[in-house]
Amino acid sequence: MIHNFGFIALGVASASVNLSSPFFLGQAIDYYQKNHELPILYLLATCSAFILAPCIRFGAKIYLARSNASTRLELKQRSVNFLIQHDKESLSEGDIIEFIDNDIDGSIYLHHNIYYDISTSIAAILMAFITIFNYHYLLSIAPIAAIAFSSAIYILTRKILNNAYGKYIEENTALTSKILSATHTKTSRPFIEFETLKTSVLDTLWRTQLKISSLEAISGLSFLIGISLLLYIGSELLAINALTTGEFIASAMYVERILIPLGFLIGIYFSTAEALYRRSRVHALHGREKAHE
Amino acid sequence: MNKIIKNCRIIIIISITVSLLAASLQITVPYLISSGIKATIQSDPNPFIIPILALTFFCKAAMQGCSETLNQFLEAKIRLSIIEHISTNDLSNDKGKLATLIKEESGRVASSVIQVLELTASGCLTLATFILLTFENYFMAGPLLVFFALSYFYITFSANKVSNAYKLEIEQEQKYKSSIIHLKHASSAPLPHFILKAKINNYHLKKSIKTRYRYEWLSISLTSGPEIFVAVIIAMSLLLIAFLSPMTLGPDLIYYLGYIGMFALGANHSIHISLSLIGTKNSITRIFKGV
Repeated sequence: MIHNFGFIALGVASASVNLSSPFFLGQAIDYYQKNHELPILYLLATCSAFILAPCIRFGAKIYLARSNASTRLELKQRSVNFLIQHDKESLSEGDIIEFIDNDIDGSIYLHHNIYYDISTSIAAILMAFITIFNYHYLLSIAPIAAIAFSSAIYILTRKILNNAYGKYIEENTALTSKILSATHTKTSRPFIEFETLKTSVLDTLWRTQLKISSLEAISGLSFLIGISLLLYIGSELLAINALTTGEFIASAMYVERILIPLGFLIGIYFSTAEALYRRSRVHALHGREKAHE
Repeated sequence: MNKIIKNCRIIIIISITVSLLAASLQITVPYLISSGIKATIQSDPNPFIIPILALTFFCKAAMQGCSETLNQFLEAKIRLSIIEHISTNDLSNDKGKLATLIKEESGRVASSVIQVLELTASGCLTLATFILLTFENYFMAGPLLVFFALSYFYITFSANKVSNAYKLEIEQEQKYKSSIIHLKHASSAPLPHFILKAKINNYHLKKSIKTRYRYEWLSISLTSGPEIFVAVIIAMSLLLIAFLSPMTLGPDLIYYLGYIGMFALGANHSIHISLSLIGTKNSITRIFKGV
């Protein structure tokens, strides 16, 4: 858990550096339009932020890979100890490998990476939101509408998504385990049920994925809502001189900086459905281990 | 492998078409947003901008949804076809190898096919943004061309390192999977034998995780290098734009930065996929040539 605080801090740092570039650029544009002189300091600050952002991301990725390796080891050791015990009946080899490797590797994202990704996105959204609010409070309606739309989709789809991949994972596990058990020796016969089971697995996946991709596409429309509202409100404020050109350009960049991480959060939500189901299987297994003790 | 790809050719063609359509719609978005902003600043709002933007977004979202569904379906279909090939053709008695091929490598090879499709789309996106940027401002062409040349040399230079690290990782994974199977078979053997097998399994587990970490470390380092380099290029381009055509310090800059961002994203993605494909090539050889 301590690791995860580190990832949250790195996420916030990464978002701050990322967001400082449009801020300095907005200042540079305003300075140039007022004085008709090159704003060297602001330009250098913008460029430094551009270069520093991928450096922080690199450090975070290495730290994440290291933490994932130690978590993976700990979880796999626990699963092996519970699934294979002396003088006790155990599952088939295919099922054991699926539980130990595929479930743990398939859900490892949820142990550390998710904290970094979510904190980066939320920090970016919050900081950009505060800046837009400072430019003009009415401009903040644009990102609020986009966030409200995404939240509504989240609330409406939560139940559908929790078990969306369940049937596919169970069918897929059963099929690959059966194949592994059937293909042991040079004399073994080909696995004859394969074609029927394959069609069934693919059919389940097609229906699940179509449902999830459609929901993700609908959620992605939050970007459109945000940009359209920004253009409308921005034009009204510029018409009454309540906003300068530089402020409008910078706020347009900040609205994008809200909408991109918002889209990323939507992506995480929809793409982790399979990992969530796999993690629930790992939890159930380790829960059984505790009850057994 | 060719036979499997041939069986899926219709889905592959549809998927590439849909991905390219989605990418071309994505390219028009910064232009539309920048036009909207320009019109707003000049107090001459264009009533068609928002409906056109909405239509573009709806089409892009539909295309992306379609492409995502097709890609997932294609990946699963290829993975299951590879498993079918392994189960009918691999006559090895090494169950650890079979487990690694079926549970690990079939998935990696199948996702590499999807990565090739993504590489096609991101390659087109990179090329299209390069052309657009060059037409808009000739000063952009220099640094971007340098980046293309360096990317090529970089991928060629890194290929051996990535391939060796991947090979080591898979070999260790196979040893670890074999040790699980041996441990399961030893569960009914005398306790000292079972304990010995458990220790061997733990040793291979630790080693497999260590080699995987080393492969990930190498892969992250190699893919982050160009990302940092692209950031330096963007910073240099920004300074060049500001010094050579200071009038650009206005709404046009959003348009430029939008496309430069897209170029950087497409280029980094292409390098990342290329390096990952170099590794997976080893799995294709193991599955289809039995090496």
